[in-house]
Amino acid sequence: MEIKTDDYSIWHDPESSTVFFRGFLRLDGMEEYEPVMHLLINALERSANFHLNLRDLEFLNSSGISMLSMFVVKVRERGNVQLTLQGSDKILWQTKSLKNLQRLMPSLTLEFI
Amino acid sequence: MVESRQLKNQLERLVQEISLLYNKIEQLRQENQDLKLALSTTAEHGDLVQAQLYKTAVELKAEVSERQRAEFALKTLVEAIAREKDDLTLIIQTIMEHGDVLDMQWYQKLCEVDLLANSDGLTRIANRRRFDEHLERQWKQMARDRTPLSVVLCDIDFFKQYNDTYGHVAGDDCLKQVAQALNSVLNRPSDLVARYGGEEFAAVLPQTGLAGAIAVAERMQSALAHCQIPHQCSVISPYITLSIGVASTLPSNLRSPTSFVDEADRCLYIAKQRGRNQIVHCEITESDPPI
Repeated sequence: MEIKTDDYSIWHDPESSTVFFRGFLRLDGMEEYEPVMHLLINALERSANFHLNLRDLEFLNSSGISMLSMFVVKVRERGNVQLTLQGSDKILWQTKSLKNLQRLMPSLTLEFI
Repeated sequence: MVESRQLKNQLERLVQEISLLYNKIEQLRQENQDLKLALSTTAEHGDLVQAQLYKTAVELKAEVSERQRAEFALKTLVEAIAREKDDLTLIIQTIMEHGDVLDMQWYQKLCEVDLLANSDGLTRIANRRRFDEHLERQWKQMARDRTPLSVVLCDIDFFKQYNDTYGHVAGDDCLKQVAQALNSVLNRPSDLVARYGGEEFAAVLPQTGLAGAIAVAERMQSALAHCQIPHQCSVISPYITLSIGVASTLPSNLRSPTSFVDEADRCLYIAKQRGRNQIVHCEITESDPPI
C-alpha cells in the first residue's frame, strides 16, 4: 500500500507494522484525506503493535492533524492495539502536536529522535 | 269445658308462636342467604382486587425494569457523548495549537528565506539586493521629507594582493572582519551597511548630510584600524585600509538612486587614484545634472 506524489509519500511496511510519512502533506479538507485514512485503517487490521513514522513529514496541515486525531481515537476505541508515534524533535509541529494526540490516547507511545 | 277452652287458647297461642317462629326461621334463612351472597361477593371482589393488584405489580415491575434499562442506556449514551465531547474538545485544541505551530513554522521558514535572500552568505551583513531595496525606499522617503541622504562606498585597498599573499580562506576571514567593523559603526535602525561587491562595502545613511556621512566614514576607518588586520603587501600601511567615497544629497524625483550611488563610486575612484586609504566626498545638489 502506497500513496505517492511529488510533495509527499505514504507507505506501509508490513514487516515492521509501520506506516511511513514523508514530505509536505497539505491536502484540502477531510475528503481528500480519506485515502490516507483508508490506508491507515487497512494497515491497522494486521497488527497489534502499530507504528506511525512521521520523522520525515516536514509539514502537515490542519486537516491532516484532524485526520490523524480521528485515527488515534479509532485505535483507542479498538482497545487492543498498541500505537507508537515516531517523530522528530527537529520538526516544530511534531514537538507540539504529537503530545496532544497522546492526550486522546494516554497509552499511546511517543518516540522522538 | 273450661279446660277445653284453656286448651284451645293454649293451642291458638302455640300456633301463633309456631307461626312466629316459622317467620323468624324464614327471616333468618333469608339473612343467611344474604350473608352468604355478601360473603361470596366480597370474596370474589377480593380475588378480583388481588388479581388486579398482582397484574399492576407485574406491570410496575416490568416498567421499573424497562426504566432501569432505559436509564442504563441513557447513562451509557451520556458517557459516550461526554467522551466524544472530550475527544472533540481535544481534537479542536490540537488543531488550533497545530495551526499556531504551523504559523510559527512558516514564519521561521520565511525568516530563513528572507535572511538568505537579503544577506551575504559570507559576511552575514546585508547583500547588494537588500542595499538596493533599502536605498530605493529611503530615497523616496527622504524625497518626501526633504531630508538629506548619504551613501558611503568602501573598497579594501590592495585586496587582490592580500588574497594572493594570505590565501582565499584568510581573504574571506578578512572580509568578515571588515564587515563587522563597518557594521559596528552604524547604530540607527534606518542605517544599513551591505557587502556591495567582492571587496566593496556600501552604507545607506538616511537623514544624514555630508558632514555626518564624512564622520561615519572616518569612524569606519578608525574601527577597521582598531582591528589591525596585517597586510604585508600593502604599500601604504602594514594593516588593511579602506578607500572611501561619500556622496550626499537631498533626494528628488529628478535623480535616480542608482545615479546617486554612481557619484559615490566616482568619489571612491578618485580616492583610489589619489593613493588609497582616504575619503573623497561630494555633495550633489538639484542643479547638478544627473549622470
